[in-house]
Amino acid sequence: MKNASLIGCLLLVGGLANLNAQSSAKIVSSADAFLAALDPAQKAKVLFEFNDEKQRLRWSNLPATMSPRAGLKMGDLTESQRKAALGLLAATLSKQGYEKTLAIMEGDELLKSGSGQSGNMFGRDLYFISILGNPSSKDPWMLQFGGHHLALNLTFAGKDGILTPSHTAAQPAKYTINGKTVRPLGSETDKAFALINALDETQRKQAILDYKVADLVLGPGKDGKTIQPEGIKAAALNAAQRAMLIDLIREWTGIVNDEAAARRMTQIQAGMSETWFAWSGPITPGSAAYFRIQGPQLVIEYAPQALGGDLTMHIHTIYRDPTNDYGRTSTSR
Amino acid sequence: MKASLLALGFATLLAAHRNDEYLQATLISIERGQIWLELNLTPGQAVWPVVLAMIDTDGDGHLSEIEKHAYAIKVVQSLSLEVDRVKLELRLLDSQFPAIKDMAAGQESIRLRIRSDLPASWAADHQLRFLNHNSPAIGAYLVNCLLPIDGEPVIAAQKRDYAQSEIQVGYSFKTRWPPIQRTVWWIGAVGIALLGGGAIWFRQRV
Repeated sequence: MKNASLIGCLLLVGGLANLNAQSSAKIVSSADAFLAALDPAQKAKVLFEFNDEKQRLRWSNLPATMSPRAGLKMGDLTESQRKAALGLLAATLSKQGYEKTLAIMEGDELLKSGSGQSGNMFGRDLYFISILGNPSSKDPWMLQFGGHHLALNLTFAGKDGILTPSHTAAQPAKYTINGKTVRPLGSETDKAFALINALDETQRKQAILDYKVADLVLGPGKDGKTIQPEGIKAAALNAAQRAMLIDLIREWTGIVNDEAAARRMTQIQAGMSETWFAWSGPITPGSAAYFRIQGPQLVIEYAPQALGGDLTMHIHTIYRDPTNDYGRTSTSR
Repeated sequence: MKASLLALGFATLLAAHRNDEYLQATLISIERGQIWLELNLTPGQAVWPVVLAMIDTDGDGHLSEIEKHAYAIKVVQSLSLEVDRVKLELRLLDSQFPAIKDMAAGQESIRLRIRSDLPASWAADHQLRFLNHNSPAIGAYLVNCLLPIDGEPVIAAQKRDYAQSEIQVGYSFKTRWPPIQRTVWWIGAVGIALLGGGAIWFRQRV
């Protein structure tokens, strides 16, 4: 299993077929099944108090060897335990979100195999899972899953499933596996370029910032901060362009299961007229460009990383809700 | 499993984090009476020896508190902050340096917190100008204004140079005077009115 492609094991993991019929009860039963598969020592490692702020904030874009995570390491799980862990992820995420997660991990596995000695900091074994609180349909709890280039922070509060803040990234941003090309962040990249190219000259002048943006502004470690929005307001877009923007936003909101994603999109669309889209860099598809979407309850950033090579092959993104990161508002109700 | 990379150099793969730049990200927070700057300085792996040489001035491979403080001050001295064309004094409040091995790996940031006191002003509209001249040969810059929590001031315009080493911000307070000054003004005005009224009443009685 460890040597097999995680994308390949997608079909083996239970729960995916029922994604459309997800409910908090199903998520809780998947969490219970995962916990039941662990021995007492592992259970002690994976479970944290819901109010454990240190653990809540313990996520990063960096490999776990550089920015240590806590919880259970995927590489330390047996095959059946790993299957239960992935089953829990599959139950909490959408099909698209689950596939994106596996594709990011698989890219990291590729980094490992291609990095010789320094490869020990990469790979699908170096992702961690942790649970804050007790999985419940009523009481708030949290599932964290992450490692290099991935941080999913899922807070559950009754029917709410809050995915902010979360970090998705990809390196390499394009690879082939079993003859198939995989682009973990390919859809968001393509949709963003389609949107910027759908703007007319006047709109583009507003959307494109006249300065270089070297990295994420509100990346990992920048909790609780909101910057002045810039670019073009969604109110200045026509209906088709606005639909493209909403479709682009769905690439992040849609990582979580369909029910939670639908509730989140309703919230975001209510603030659409105050949502901004900003771009920095060339607009030719395939080039390296930064973009930001910012609304009253939303921050999305996408930033190619300057590492001395092809910027388009290493991308970082962040997804936040400045009013409800970690479900702080939802869980305080 | 057969996996391969598409159009990707191997050297690029090895760099999991910032490499040949010294990322300097500034967040500016404007309040009545003061401006806060938060600087995150992240040296890339390839430029770390250059940055290390600037901090570790005795070259012993260890960063003493004196060396860290001296470097933080040097960075502050390479910044410039003006409001309404008046240059402001920048006071270093706090500096945090991660372990050398983490900075050498291009993954951790030096953090500086800086404050500047604003002179009292009755004007509602202001212009701020911030410049970062620290290590321009290797610097990559970000500078942004934080949204105020209470909705003031309103940031009307931001203009940066292409590299983001400079920003000009137009901002204004909806209420011309800060709450405390407003309260003092009203107390004073009511007091004068009462005194005046009392004096007239007294003269009429006499």
